[in-house]
Amino acid sequence: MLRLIKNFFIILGNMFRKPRTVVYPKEKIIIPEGSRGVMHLKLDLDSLDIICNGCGLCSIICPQNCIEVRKRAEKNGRIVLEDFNLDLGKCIFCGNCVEFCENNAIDMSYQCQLADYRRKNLRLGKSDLIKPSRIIRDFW
Amino acid sequence: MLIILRKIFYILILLVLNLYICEYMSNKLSARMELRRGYRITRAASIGFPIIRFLKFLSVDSKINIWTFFIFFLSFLMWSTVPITSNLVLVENDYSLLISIIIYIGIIALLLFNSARSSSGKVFSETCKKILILFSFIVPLLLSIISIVLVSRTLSLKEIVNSQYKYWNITLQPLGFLTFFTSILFQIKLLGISRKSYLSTGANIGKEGKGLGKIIEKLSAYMSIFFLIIIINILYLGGWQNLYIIRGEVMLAVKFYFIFFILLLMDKIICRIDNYKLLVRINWKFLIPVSLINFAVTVGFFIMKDIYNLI
Repeated sequence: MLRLIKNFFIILGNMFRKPRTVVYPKEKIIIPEGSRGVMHLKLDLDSLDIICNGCGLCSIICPQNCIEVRKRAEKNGRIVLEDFNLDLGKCIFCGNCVEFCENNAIDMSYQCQLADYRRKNLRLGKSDLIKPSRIIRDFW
Repeated sequence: MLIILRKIFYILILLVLNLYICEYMSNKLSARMELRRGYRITRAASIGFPIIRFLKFLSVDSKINIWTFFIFFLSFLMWSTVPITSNLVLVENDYSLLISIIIYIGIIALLLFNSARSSSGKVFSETCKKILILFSFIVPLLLSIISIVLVSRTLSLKEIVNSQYKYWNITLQPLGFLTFFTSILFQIKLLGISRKSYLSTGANIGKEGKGLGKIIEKLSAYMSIFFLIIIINILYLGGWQNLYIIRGEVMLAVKFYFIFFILLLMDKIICRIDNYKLLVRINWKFLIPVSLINFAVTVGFFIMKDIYNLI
C-alpha cells in the first residue's frame, strides 16, 4: 500500500517534469560525454601518419571478430599498417580494442547514426576510419 | 419526432466529442506520466492525433462480421436509456438502470463472440479469459448497485440522482464506492485502454484485426468506460445536481473528466498488476468480500429502518 502511495506521487510529479525523450528527427540532443560510437584511428599530429603499427592485438581481442588488420614490411624493415577494416554490422561497441591497444592508436568517436540501406556500406576501411569529422561530438 | 432527432444529434455530438477528448487525453497524459514527449503529428501539441489514428486504422482493409455490427449498435443503444443530463435521455422508464446494465453485459458478451472470428486459437482463448474475468468484476459492481438501489429504493437513474439533492450517495456508501471504482479500474485494464497494458497486448490481441472492426472494438471499449464513469457519477457523486451556483451539466463534465484522469493515473500506478491470476485473486479476496460486507450492512439497515422501524 505504501508503494502504491509512493508511486502515486511519483507519477503525479512526472506530469510536471520535463519529458526525457525527444521527437527524434525534429529535435536533437547532444550526445553524452563518454559515449561509444564508431572506432577512430588516431593520427600523429606532427607527421599526420596513422599511429597504428598493425600489431593486430585489437583484431585478436575483438569478441565479434569484426576487425581485420593487414600489415606490411617496408624496405627499411619497419612494419606498417597496410589495411584496417571494420565491420559495423558485427561491432558491439564494447571498447576492448581501445583498452588493449598498446600504442594508444584507437579512439571511440561519437558518431552513432549508422543506419544504412546496404550491408556493404557498413564495412569501413582505413580511409573511412581516419576522418576527422568522426571525433566531433555530434547531435543525436 | 423533431425533438427526438435533436436529442439523438446532441447525444451523438457529445459522444464523439468525448471520444476525441478522451483519446487525446489518454495518449498525451499517459506519455507525460511516463516522462515521454508523446506522439506529435502537428505543432499544436498533437491535437490531431485521434483523427490521424482513426484514419490509420481505417486505411487497413479488414473483414468485419455480424458481431461487430451488433457491438456498434449496442454501444450507441446504451445511451438511449442512460441519461447524460436530466433532459438528454431518449427513453425514460423506471428500469433504466437495469436495462443499461443488461446492455453493458451484452456488449461484453459480444466482444467474446467477436473474438471467435480470429484464426488463431490462442487469441480466442486469451479473449475468453479476459471476458470471464471481466464478468467476475461485474459481481462486486452489481452488489454495489443493489446496495444503492436499496438506499434510494428505485431503479430509475433519474430518480437516483434526484434522491441525492441533500447528500451524495458516496457519504452513505463509501465501501460501495471503493469497490465500484476499483472494479471499473480493473475493467479498464482488461478492456485495454492503456496501450502499454500487458493484458491488452498479450497474444497479439491488440495487434490483430486492424481496420474498421478494430475501430468498432475500440469504440465499444470507450463506450463501456464512458458508461461506467457516467453510472458512477449518477450513483455516487450526485450526477447532474447543481453545486451552489455551478450548473449541473458543468459539474457532470468536470466530474467525468476528473474520474477519467484519476483512472488513467491509477492505471499507471498499478502497472505491475499485469497478469490474470493476480486480478482474479484481487477480485475474489478483496473486492467481492468488501462488496458483500457493504451489501450485508445495507440490507441490515434497510430491514431495521423500513421493515421494523427501529432506526
